[in-house]
Amino acid sequence: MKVLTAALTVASVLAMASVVEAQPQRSEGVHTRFDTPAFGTEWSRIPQYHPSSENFTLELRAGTYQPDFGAAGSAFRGDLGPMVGAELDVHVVRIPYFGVLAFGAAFGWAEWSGPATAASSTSANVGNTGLSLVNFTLLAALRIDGLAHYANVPLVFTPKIGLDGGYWQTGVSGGSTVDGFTAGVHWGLQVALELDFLDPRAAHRLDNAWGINHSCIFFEVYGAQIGPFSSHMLNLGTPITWAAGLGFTF
Amino acid sequence: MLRRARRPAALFAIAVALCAVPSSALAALMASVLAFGTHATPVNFMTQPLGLNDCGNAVHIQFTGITSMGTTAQVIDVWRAAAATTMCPTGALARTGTAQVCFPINVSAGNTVTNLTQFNLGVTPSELFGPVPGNLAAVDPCTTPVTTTQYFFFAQTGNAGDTSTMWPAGTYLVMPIAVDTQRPTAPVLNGPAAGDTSVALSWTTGETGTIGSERVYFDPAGCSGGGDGGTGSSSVLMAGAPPPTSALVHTVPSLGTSGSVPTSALTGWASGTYGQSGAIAITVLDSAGNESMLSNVICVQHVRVTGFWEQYCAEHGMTTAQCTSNYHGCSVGVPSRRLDLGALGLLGAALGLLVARGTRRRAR
Repeated sequence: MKVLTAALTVASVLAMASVVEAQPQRSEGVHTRFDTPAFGTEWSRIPQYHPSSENFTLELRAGTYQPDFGAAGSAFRGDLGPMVGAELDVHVVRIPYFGVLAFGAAFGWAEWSGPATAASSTSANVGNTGLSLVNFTLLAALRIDGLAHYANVPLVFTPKIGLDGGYWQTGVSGGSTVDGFTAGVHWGLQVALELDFLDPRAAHRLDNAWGINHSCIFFEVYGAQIGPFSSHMLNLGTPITWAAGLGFTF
Repeated sequence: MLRRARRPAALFAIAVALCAVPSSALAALMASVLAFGTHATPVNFMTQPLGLNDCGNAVHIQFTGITSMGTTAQVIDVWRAAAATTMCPTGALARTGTAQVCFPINVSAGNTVTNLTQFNLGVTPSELFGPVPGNLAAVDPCTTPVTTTQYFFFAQTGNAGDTSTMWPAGTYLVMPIAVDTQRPTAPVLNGPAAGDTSVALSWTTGETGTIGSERVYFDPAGCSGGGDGGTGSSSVLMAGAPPPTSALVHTVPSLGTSGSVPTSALTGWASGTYGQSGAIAITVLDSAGNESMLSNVICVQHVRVTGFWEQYCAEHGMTTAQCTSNYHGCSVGVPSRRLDLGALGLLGAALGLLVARGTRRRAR
């Protein structure tokens, strides 16, 4: 975790330095040298770039997730999942020069498995035991993109908070299964690096063709308290974990 | 340019699709495409390759729509050759001689057409692939294991055994028929095995051909000492011996090297009683239905298997039943498949929004 955090920090600093040096026109908004008509050249045929409105954010993510099972978790021998999922946020309120408040929904899927054990002595392989979790989250996110839009720093910070609901199923291979529903709260803090600075023209073309304003890679630290609020709910939360992935604003 | 570049991809896709079609289906397709001139068309071609199970039985090749040639009897003559391009019925090649490459097949059940509307030509694998006049060196596939494909030419004549006619193209039919009478190599079971509601088995196979399925043989009286060793003892199951039909308990319809057998299928075990043992062995079947000899015999035990849930419940001071009742009480009873659909719906909504925006942008 420390190594990943350090690597992300170094990458962010390098990215910021390169953007400040290579993208002096960023603050000029849509009127870049790329968009200026040059009569008599092929550039004159390229229409001016008018960015589309930003209404949604889609994130595709993967990361480790290991619920706090207690001693019984040893059955999974430290299996870290992974948790894969997606999130779709709807931009609701834009706060000028600061960011946008969004509400969204996310789902994730993870499965942990390990060897089952026989109650009596045998050297035979008796199969596996496993637990799978399909997790849904309703969340509010504050996307702080003012730096990226107004200060040429392609970083977007997003704190999130929401409600989790999880459907789980566990059992041993070839045996009966048990399932249930659990719920809780969810928090997260995401830092995203917008990739537009790598090739602004390509970013503009993507927007012109598909309405995708920005694409980014992100790293998110998050935690969840799922289940501890009821003695009838399986505790599937984790104090802190991480996810990384791709994001698209459109 | 772009369109041209796509062609190889399309051809590749077609090739992959054709490769995915079973050989029997291709043979049937070929049979349905090739016409038997104006005389007849064979249908209901047999499943290929022919295997040991086909030995002793006549394979029926059905012809329909046979036209009378004006003689007293209509006969379907058959030749065998090693290549489809030999064109056996076209003349000299059909006759005997030192350079003979086409060999007439003797159909013991008779090749005289008895019904012009529908006629089943019944031939055995031994007749099709075995020694024939002019090629007595060939082996009987039902007594000597062989794997081969030969081409068979069917021509309708008005006189039995008439090989003097120069058959023009389109008045005869050629079809490949494959035979595989080699038993697959017996697998090696990894053992011992144990299980609760099912027993997981894994094995290695030395068979390089296509494996169709596996059969599981069980002897509840075997391993009477409750053995947990790698080698089982059984008076019914003998490693390397022909499989005893009476001990067949299960078929694993898989193509891999592992599978599971429900303990309820292990005939002879009392239901729900742990501590029972038995001997188990498997065979593999190839695509021709040939069954291998028995694998090695291993011991299998009926044991209670626990996993995460049992450990979690014990940790919280509950029996598994109490625990299940407690936590399942909060279950919404939603099958996970619905949640899968929900997840797909979320992604679908995002993609839909994206496509809609892209469409609007391009329309401007």
